[in-house]
Amino acid sequence: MSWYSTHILTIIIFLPLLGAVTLACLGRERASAIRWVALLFSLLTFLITVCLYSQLDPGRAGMQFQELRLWMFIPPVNYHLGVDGLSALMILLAGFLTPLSVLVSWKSITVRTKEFFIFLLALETGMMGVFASLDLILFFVFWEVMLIPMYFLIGIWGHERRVYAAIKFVLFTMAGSALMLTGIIYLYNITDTFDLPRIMAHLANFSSLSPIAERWLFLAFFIAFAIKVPVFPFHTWLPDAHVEAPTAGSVILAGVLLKMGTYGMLRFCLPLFPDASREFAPLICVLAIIGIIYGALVAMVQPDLKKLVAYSSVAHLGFCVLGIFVFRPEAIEGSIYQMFSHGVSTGALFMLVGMLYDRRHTRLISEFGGLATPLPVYSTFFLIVVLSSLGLPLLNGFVGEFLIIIGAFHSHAAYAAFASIGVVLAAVYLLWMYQRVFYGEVTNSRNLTLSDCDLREKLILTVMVIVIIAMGVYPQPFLRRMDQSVNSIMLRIERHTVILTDRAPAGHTGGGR
Amino acid sequence: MLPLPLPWWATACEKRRPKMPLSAAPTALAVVGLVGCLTAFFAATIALTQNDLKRMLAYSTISQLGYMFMGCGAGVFAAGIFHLMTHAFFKSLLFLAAGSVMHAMGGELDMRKMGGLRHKLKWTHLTFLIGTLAISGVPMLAGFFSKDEILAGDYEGPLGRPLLFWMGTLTAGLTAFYMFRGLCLTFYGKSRVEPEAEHHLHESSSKMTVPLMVLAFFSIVAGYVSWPKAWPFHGHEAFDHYLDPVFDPATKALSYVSAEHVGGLTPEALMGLSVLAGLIGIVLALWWYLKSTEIPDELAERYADVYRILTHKYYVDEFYNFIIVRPLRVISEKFLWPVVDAGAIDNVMVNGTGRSTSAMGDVLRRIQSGNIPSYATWVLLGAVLWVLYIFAFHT
Repeated sequence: MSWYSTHILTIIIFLPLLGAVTLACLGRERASAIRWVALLFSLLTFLITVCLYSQLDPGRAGMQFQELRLWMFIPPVNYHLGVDGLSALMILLAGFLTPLSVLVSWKSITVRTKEFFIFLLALETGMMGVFASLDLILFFVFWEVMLIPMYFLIGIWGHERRVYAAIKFVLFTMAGSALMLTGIIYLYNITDTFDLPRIMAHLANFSSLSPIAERWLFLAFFIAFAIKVPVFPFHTWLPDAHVEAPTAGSVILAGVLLKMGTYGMLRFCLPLFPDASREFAPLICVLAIIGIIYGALVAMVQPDLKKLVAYSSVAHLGFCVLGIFVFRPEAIEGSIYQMFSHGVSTGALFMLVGMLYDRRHTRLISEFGGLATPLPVYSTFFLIVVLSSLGLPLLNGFVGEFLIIIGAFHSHAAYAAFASIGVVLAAVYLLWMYQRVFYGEVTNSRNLTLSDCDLREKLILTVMVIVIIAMGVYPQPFLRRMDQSVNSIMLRIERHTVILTDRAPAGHTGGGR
Repeated sequence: MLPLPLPWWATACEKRRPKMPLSAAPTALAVVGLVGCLTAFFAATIALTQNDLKRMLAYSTISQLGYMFMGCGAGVFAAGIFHLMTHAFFKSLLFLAAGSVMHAMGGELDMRKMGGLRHKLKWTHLTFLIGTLAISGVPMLAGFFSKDEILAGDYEGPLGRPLLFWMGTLTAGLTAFYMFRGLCLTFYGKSRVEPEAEHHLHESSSKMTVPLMVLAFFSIVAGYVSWPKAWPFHGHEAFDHYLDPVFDPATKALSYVSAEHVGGLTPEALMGLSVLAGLIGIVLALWWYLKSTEIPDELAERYADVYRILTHKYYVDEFYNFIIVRPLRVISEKFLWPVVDAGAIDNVMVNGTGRSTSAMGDVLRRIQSGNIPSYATWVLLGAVLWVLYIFAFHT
């Protein structure tokens, strides 16, 4: 058992940070070296995440690759890391998108390059930490660590309204985080520990949460995650943040950061507070469906291409939230799968929009038209990604959405019916946008002289498309590794239902498992 | 049907396998059959008056799909799939040939601007003719076998109704008519091609014509996989038996609920009727579009309203646009985005919170005036209040 294999999670988390420190030592004028070092570190991290994911044991329940080091004694905060199928997949996603983000920013970031890549790598550290943490305070630390680099990325290298968007993003998210911190501390008061597995065991065995407490705790955590996802009506920071962020920022924001909300719901809300989850589920499902349909409708009428993609994220993540709160295994698997595939598809969409912006410095759909003529290769990549985003079978988007809709149908047929309308609307806004931007005659003469994708861009897009097609045609490797995580979540949801029906009005039931 | 390994899909649907195939419910099938019948008929009527070659073929496709649904609705599922297969051959042939015509005409598809193309586009014409014969149900070509099986099933199948048969036969006549209309307008008669287009009228390269020939071949022979039982040479209906494993449960279930069929027409009579309908359609089309070409225009004038409705495809597109598309766009653009999103949520709640926090800060900061004597006044005020509090509540 080498040090490497027992500390793989620590390596994954802190290797990017090491990269950031290395970058800090380089001179500011050596832009080329900076980019290559950043790429090197992010690629290395990605390779290690692939090793992690492939070495994950699909048949074992519970957390794997755990690391535990005592950190503080009073209060008892530990450096506790561990992953299961769900976290490992998210870590893989973050590892996958970061080097691509580095590549996509290769030419477009020319001012303060060094700081940009330092922040990008620091952001990666935060992301990895969030997904690997098993200690609530550690989780919170990494959660906040994620915010600051993103704030700078948007605020410095963003577009016209970047400062407003960055501040809005931070304040909005931080408000939720503050709520979550309150919940964490209250939970500590009850269970005397911040360690997630111990808390879960405590809650399962002693049913020590009164229904009211459970409801408030659930809300505390849920609202923080709902802001992150984002769930309607907490979504308005998203269009601004996405539009004003630089391309790499948008890719990471949409690809990974949004998923932290749904990850949190799966990791904390459902297992820790199952009864409250069930209580709030109808309301949350309705909000999710509103998000799906509303997001799609508003996306349809956006004149700004990037804002359209931003609202499409609201719609797609609505599917994820719906999948989580119908409490069916196939829906939860679909939700997790959708998290990953949305990260890839929407990440690719933002990259494509960024490439277009690099050429024309505008994102307005009206400025384009007939782009398939000067940019055939780009148009083809764009089409594949669009089809993936709208859930065409044999591409990755279909698997997740399909599983979610099936699960929703088993829960309440009405949910599935409305969610299906969302699928149709996704086709509407995406295809209409594609037609207006790419088909027909070239309406703006400035578009005639645009250059098609260069080698770097083709490389990025080819990788994305390969993943999109592979995930769509053969999802089994990913689904297999989620099974245990989904099982354990389902166990906690269903077990508590049983206890609930047996529970006498005033007392404990004493477990009995 | 591609045998893709989709275990995940199977797992998902595992819990949902029904005891009796949904496809065998009589009411559902009656609806399917009726919908198919109406589709076949109405789409055929639309195809009658279309001037765009591809649009006519498109509505023809819709009509033929109606046939497949009629087959399923009558309980002869294999016949429906059989027609799917043969239709694939001759319809794709027709569309590709239309593409070849379009290529030759430099992008033009309006049949009113064609005519006499068979001289310059020999292979396109020949293959298009074969496709037209096939779709019209001319005996011994593919379409005849499949269409006939469906019509026979409509009459005497498990859930067949005479209504389906008669409508189907009528539609077969219409199909033959509009297809030959298309054929005549495009390839026969006097050339109505515009002078500029006339110059580069040429047969397409072999890259285009060879596929046409391949498809034409199959449009002829594809029907032979299901040689009717009633015919000599050991009819074996191999295709139906190939699909037996798929449709057996449904067919068995249907055998308990199938309607009783009394006497009526023999299979030969059914076959003869559908062929007759086709022939009438062909003859009528040849007469009106080759010989007395002024008749269609006269009819169009006399029944102008009917003609207009048909040409505008019963205004279905306009209806959908009015009921669904435009309201959605207007609601989203004028209400959902500006009023709800940018207005109520963003402006009032989010930025409103920001503004009220700023406003509160604005007011509260006045306490920090920098004016020391004012601080002394605040201290004095606080002290007075504190003393009052103690005297009021603690003595």
